[in-house]
Amino acid sequence: MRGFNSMTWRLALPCSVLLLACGDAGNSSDSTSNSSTGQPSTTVDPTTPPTTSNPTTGVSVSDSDTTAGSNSNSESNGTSSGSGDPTTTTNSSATTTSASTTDNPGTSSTSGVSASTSGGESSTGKVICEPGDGMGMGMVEKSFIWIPSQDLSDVAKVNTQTMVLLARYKIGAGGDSPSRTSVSGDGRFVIVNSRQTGRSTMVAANIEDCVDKNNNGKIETSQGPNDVLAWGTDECILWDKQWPYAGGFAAGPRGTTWTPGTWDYDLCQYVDPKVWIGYSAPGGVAHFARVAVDGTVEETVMVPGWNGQGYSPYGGALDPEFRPWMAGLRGEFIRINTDQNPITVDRFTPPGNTQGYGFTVDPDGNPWFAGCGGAVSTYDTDTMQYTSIPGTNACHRGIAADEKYVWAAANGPCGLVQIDRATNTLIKFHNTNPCSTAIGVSIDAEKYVWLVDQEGWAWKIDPRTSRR
Amino acid sequence: MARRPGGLGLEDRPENVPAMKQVMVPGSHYVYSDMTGGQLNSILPQ
Repeated sequence: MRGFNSMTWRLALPCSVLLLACGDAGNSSDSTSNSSTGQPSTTVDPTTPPTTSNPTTGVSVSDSDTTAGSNSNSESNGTSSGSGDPTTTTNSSATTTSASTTDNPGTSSTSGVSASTSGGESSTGKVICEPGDGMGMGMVEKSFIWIPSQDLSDVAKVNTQTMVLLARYKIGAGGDSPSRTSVSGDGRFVIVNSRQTGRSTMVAANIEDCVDKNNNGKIETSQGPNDVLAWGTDECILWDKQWPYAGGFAAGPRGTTWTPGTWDYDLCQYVDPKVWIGYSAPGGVAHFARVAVDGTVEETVMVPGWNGQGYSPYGGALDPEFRPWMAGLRGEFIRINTDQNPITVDRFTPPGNTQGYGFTVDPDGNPWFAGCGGAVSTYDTDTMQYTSIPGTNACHRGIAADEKYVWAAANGPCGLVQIDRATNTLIKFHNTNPCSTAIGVSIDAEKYVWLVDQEGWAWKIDPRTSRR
Repeated sequence: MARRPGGLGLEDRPENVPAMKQVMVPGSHYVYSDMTGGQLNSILPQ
């Protein structure tokens, strides 16, 4: 398994950031356990009202997130270029709840280790390593991409190195419409969000993290692409959680991002990762739940008046200070300030022509939006300026960033957009053959770009053959 | 992918079609998220 101490990723960050990251304030001690009902137990009103500005432009767009997954490629409101005005931003203390609810208790523990993080010293008082030490070296041992199928209610596990489809897992009884998947930093755990049923399902990537639930001395789990066990019988499904969502397809969980957890100086790696999951609760309130690997809901941040065209938070990503960002469909985006106590939320309203669909945060901490229909755009968190990339105008879908480039799936025409994120310029529009509906984009552990096509395949793309 | 005249190697130009390999995955995929953990790993200190 690829661990944090054997990754090939490279990034230099100031030490102050590292120390802040080690603290992972989002994992602070306010996550007390006081409920087992699956519902948040307490509510605290925000100290200031949220922004209510509306960024929509009157562009006519079709439902872009239907169960069938179809979208209209005819959407277009023109390509904008240049920099926009500073965003509308509101900072408020988030409504948060702290609760401890565990579904299917008795599943595996996170790591079986105790984090001893005390000022850069190990439990023996000896300085061993800091985050980043020893990284950038070594070989990737395992790397997977997890591709959900909305019509089959399953998720496929593909080895990104061998390109072999290794297993498929049912994530619900059927009609779940799973969409967003998100992988923990150590690659061990995967969350799958089901839009229709309002449920999230946790999958263990490695057999050693699966649980012998029927105590027969072995792990029953999928052994191949055509070996799909019935729902509830695959023992690499750790748990599933029904969210108290508003009901219906639009409100189900979507946007998600993991945090790496806390730094363990003895182990020289992060432990106890958390995953943030966004869904829509009744009354137009977006909920962002922080969930432990064992299924415990440790905290829920509530954002009233969510602006996302009636859909739950659409996308999520983490910034270098380990703060989750979540974006609404063609609406607002937020930063959950987990480095503050109590947690606050910054709400941003982008220019109307952003038309944000796919969302990510690049290694420098700047959000990117895949416009549909519109341009690929970015928000500079230092200058508070928006920039739309000239030459990009389509219904863009998923988006991902690596060290140098931003990659966005595009429909109409179908393909992959490559952007130089240092100069904010379009490098190239890449075609694939075949190309039906390019939709998901991710970067694997060896920095290959993956483009998932809705029609039933994925492309592994070597970005080194497409540089200037 | 394109090759240099004489077939000496890959040409490193933006107009090249990137090297691509396809893997078939059953079902209809509707996903925009970090399917690999690459986004998370990209922001970690390294």
